[in-house]
Amino acid sequence: MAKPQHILQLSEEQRRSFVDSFDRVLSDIDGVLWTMEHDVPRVAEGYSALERSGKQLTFVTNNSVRTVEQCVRRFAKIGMQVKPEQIWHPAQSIVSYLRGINFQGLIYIIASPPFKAVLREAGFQLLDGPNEFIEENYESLAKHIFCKQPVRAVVIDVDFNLTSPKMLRAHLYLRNPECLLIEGASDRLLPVAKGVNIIGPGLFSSILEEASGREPILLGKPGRQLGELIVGHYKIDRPSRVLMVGDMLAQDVGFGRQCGFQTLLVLSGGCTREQLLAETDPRHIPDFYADSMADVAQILGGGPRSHV
Amino acid sequence: MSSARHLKTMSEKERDEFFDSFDLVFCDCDGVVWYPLRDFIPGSADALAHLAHLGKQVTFVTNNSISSVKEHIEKFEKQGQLKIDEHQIVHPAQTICDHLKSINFQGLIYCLATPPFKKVLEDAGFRMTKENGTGIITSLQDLHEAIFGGDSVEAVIIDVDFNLSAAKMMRAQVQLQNPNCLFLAGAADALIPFGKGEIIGPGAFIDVVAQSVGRQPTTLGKPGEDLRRLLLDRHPGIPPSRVLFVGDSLASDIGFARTSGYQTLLVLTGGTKLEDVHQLPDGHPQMPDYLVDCLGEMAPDKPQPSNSYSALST
Repeated sequence: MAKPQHILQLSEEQRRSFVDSFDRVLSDIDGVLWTMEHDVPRVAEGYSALERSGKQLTFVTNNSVRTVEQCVRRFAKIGMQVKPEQIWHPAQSIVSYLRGINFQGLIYIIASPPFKAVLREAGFQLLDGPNEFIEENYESLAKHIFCKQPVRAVVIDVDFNLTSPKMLRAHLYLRNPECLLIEGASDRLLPVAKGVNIIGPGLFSSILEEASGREPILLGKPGRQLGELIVGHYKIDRPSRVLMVGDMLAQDVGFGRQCGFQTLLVLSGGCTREQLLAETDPRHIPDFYADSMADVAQILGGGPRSHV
Repeated sequence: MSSARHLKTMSEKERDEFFDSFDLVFCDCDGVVWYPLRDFIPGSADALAHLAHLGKQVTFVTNNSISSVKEHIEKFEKQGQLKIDEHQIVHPAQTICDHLKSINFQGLIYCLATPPFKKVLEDAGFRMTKENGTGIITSLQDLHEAIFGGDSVEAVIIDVDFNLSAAKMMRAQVQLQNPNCLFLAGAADALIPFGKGEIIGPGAFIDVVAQSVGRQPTTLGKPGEDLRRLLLDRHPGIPPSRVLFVGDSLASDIGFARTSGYQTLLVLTGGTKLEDVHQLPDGHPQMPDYLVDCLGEMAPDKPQPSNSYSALST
């Protein structure tokens, strides 16, 4: 496995061939455009340079906790005009997937209110809860987790109010072999501040996978089904002419490589240069890396040059 | 022994040899002596009386801290007419309490467990921090307060918590980043029998916290390694081969006991069905040595088990 190359260290000829090697950019959002603390400086210039070079831009985030409208406003604040349909997030991807398989039936969902709203607005019928703390005994537990309603899919994403009764209830629905297990974001740890990670949805969904012995349908990065959905939607027939950009080795690079895309890791978010260089899993090693998307502006010649 | 022998298929002589082969019995309670949280299983009191009559020592090893030791004793007396001593009952609240005493622990505890479990610790004089985020979390600030607010503690304990939440687990995770903060776990079953099937057990949630902090807890409930060693140390005069472990769970009882070198007997009145045993390949680490339909088969006359187990399901 070749070591990833920093895009600013490419020769003039390599830069040209890199820039000519893709038509579409799929870009992560958090850690690439902004972090928990601040906006990443001058990234808007990178994206506008890509657009001027005729590249199609699509944003693929695992974050369904904020709405697409909030996300569009945030883009506007850093000077980028992004249309809602350019943004893919797990709630929307799950809607597309379910429509694609003509899903009919009840869904039991463990997710945030904005996530649930997306599914409800798309016309799906959701069950959730218990949304309050239960009486602490087995009789009360039984009352809250056994349910005779014909649930045909369990959907799990980030839920700040996830509780054990919700997990137990989801597992019971999954005893029915016809009930699908669908996951959105599957990050095992979620960064909330510098150096501070909290337990991510992936660790909870792995409880459901292990208890039920099920292979999930994964519609967040690095999910295979998400990749198929995107490739199908944009009719991508040459995956190698897509560049996946992100700040995470497993979710972004892993997703891109699995889909056969080229991959560019930016060091503006959740991965340090040391972590990148220490990565040994070939599935997570990107083709290229950069300090941030501002570097892309530089190699495309659209951004501010270094001072002469 | 590569596959399980059913007690009822054994000759009189083989039965006698079996009963002569152990001096000490470790016996699970829920699904073995009584239906989980309910009444005695017919015949089990006779079987326990028979074991006492034969001069066997019996210690009950349960993962259920919902009932106190005192309530266990009362149940044995009232429903089984059996006189059981306090020291014959081993359950996670007690083993954890004993462990904390043995290391002279003085600090504040974050305890994710049921009220009866916490009461055992409280009665022993241990201090527990109040729950911080019991409300519904509607914002990142709420989440932040639930996880990072509140006292810092010197021990985190996880057992069955009916209202275990992501925020509580994250608070535990944050506290456990301090390498001096003890990490203790009680009942650690991955799945527990409940109603007509199994539900996710506390072990699954303990694993999530363990994975998120990158350290393993001291586990003083079944099938924990630390409980296993504690049981081995309790009876130094009795070799493991002369101990019979009786339980209804392949993972939490049989597999657990086989690691210690105990003989094992599976009862089919709880979470395991005969076909589950048949699916195990010969020599599997969870293959029991012996099988009975119900504990009562160990008594001289063998009553049939009733089929009333499952009342908790709806």
